[in-house]
Amino acid sequence: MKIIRAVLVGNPNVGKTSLLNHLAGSNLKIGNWPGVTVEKKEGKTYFQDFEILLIDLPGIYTLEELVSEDEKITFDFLYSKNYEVLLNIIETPRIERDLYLTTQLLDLEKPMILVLNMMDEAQKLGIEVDIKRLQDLLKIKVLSTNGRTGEGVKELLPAIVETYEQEIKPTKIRYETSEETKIKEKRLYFSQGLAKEVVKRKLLTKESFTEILDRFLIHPVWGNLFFLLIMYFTFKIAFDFSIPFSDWIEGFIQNFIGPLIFQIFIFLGAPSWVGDFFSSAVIGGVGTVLVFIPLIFSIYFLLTLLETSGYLPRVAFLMDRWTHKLGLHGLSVFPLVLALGCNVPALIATRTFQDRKDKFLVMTMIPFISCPARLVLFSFFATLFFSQPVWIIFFLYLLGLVFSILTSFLLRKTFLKRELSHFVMDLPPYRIPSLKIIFKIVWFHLQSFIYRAGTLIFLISIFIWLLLNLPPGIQKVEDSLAGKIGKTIGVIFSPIGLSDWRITTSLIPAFLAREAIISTMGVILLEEKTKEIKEIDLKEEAKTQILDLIKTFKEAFYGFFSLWPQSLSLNPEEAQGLKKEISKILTFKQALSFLIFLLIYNSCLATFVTMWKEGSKRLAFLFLGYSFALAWILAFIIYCLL
Amino acid sequence: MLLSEARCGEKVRIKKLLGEEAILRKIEGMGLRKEMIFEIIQRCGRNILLKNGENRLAVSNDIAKKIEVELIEKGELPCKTSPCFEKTTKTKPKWRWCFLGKEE
Ligand SMILES: Nc1nc2c(ncn2[C@@H]2O[C@H](COP(=O)(O)OP(=O)(O)O)[C@@H](O)[C@H]2O)c(=O)[nH]1
Ligand SMILES: [Mg+2]
Repeated sequence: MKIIRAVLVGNPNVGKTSLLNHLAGSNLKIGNWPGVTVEKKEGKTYFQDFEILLIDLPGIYTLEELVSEDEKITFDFLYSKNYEVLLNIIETPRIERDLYLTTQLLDLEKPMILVLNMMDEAQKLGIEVDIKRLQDLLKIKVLSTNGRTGEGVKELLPAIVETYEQEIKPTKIRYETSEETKIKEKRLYFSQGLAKEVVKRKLLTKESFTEILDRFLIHPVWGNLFFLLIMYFTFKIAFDFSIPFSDWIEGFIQNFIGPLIFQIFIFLGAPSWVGDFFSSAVIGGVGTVLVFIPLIFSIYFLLTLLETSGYLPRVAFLMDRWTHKLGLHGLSVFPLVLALGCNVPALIATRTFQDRKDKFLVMTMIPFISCPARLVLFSFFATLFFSQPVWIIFFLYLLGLVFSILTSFLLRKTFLKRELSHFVMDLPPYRIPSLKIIFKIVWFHLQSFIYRAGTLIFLISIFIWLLLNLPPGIQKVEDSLAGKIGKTIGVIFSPIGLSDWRITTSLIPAFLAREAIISTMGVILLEEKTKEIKEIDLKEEAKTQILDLIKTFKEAFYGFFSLWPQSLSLNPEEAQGLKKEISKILTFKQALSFLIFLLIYNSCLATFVTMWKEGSKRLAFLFLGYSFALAWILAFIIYCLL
Repeated sequence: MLLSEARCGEKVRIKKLLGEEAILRKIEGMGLRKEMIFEIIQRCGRNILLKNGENRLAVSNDIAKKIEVELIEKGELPCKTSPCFEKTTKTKPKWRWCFLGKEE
């Protein structure tokens, strides 16, 4: 079978990836802002006797000079000429702009097809293109498509084959000079002339949807307000919708699947530690990953909605006004806000950055932003030790933000030194995304999350279980490896007031997730062993789980429509006995020092792993060390001052 | 005059991009080219928002300083309906709503 390599080139955000997804049935990421595709990606399909390999490149505005790394990828590939057919994709409403790149592509002298995408938008704007005339002038095939619905996309395949077989090359521009400025000028005139020749515009006096919306959304004052509102609702909806499901999954695994597995092992005659290992370490580890899924799903869903709508570049534009004073590009705000919800998707969102230094800088800011896991801890201890818990919580959030900004400031002056990049941003029209495409993208993200984070979280949770349960046959946590380590590291923590081994031991599983602290303290202080697995009546428990699931749907539904965030309200009756025990071993000063330590120290495995995968191993470890040192020093200062 | 000196509501024709920097070539590719007419929609912080048909671009001041333009009209819709902020003087930065104050 013959292979035809067809490469999609065009300005950023013209629908290249959308077309490829339609042609090859792939799920590559799309979004309504320039810079979504930053790597070379491929997809393939079969037509007649040919295998057609479609190559998606990052968008580029001009081949004359290169600004960023993704542009270099495109440039190098185009000049390598390792392809048979060029597909030049054009955003028809802005054909005048796009034809400039087309004239540069003509010089490559490769078989070429011109694809007029976004025909639907052009029609709405009263723009008509004389396709026949364009074909005659360029001497190549010109097709029109709709990358949203897939209309006209299938006709591309026979066109690719024909262009390949007959080697349909475009007209050549004769420059008659080798002077660069003259060549540029000629190209400019050629593209302008071409556009004049084939484009007819009806005069529309009506304001477009984008103009009306922009009136509010990028207004210098109201725009900021709308931004806050949109962010607030994004989170509120994401959390209130997902937390009931997360809670349910947690309960389902702990109260049903865990005991079920345990009983199966006992039934099979295995020793009880085997049953315990499988039910709490293996299933518990899987659970830690599964619990994240509703949250990741809803955050991604809303994020993708924002991304494909075209709001994102506007946020960058609005926020750049404040952030450039700190040496940060406007685009950095987005992941930072996401971090309030969960640090993990926030770190992933830094993929949008084209400069690695900028990306690393924002990555080091994210873990200081408090997520709901920290809120749970703050509220648990704050209500116990402080008369004004709300202010303490507020203070901790603020402290996190201050250190986030300080860290970025420091790094900008030292390791990640860089001139603040220019701000150049194209604001595309708002586009209403298709739900089907959004679900596809979200599904793709979920899969990669489960795969990436899943494996590591799983392994570490098994490791921690072993620490808590080894050497074999121990009855108390104090005698376990974890207890011994807790006592040893007590030396490090005693200057900040945390010398009690029961506190330091609970810090070990806290590295998995901060919420784990409360449950570990429960295990240690209440002198219970980790295995609280009781014999359960499976039928009864199954019934309870189903009823709980129904309740979960109800809660998620109510949460969706209430104005105030439901998932952030406290649950006062939780663990009363434990609170009493804790207040016996901690004083006010120690508690504050403890909270500050937990706020600043990056004790969340998922964040650590994501930092590693998205940034680099070195970044993840260095940051872990930095945040530990910073947390310790701060806690020390607070402990000594008070 | 330079694009960085243009005020919101004004329409300008691009005359020349001053310099050979890569970023200027990119801007040219983005549609900010010789002979094109742009309307200044908004000025916000270090950025200027420009529009020509479906083409909406935001560029920072340091780049706008390298673009020579010619003023063609004061804009039919002055700042009254297109919201924007402007710095009143260079030395004493005092912010005001341009649709509240009069043009100096
Ligand atoms: N209305 C409309 N939107 C489209 C069309 N093709 C793509 N889009 C949208 O345009 C945006 C950019 O698409 P994408 O494929 O990421 O462009 P790329 O940057 O060139 O790869 C996405 O929000 C798409 O949903 C089209 O023909 N009509
Ligand atoms: Mg793309």
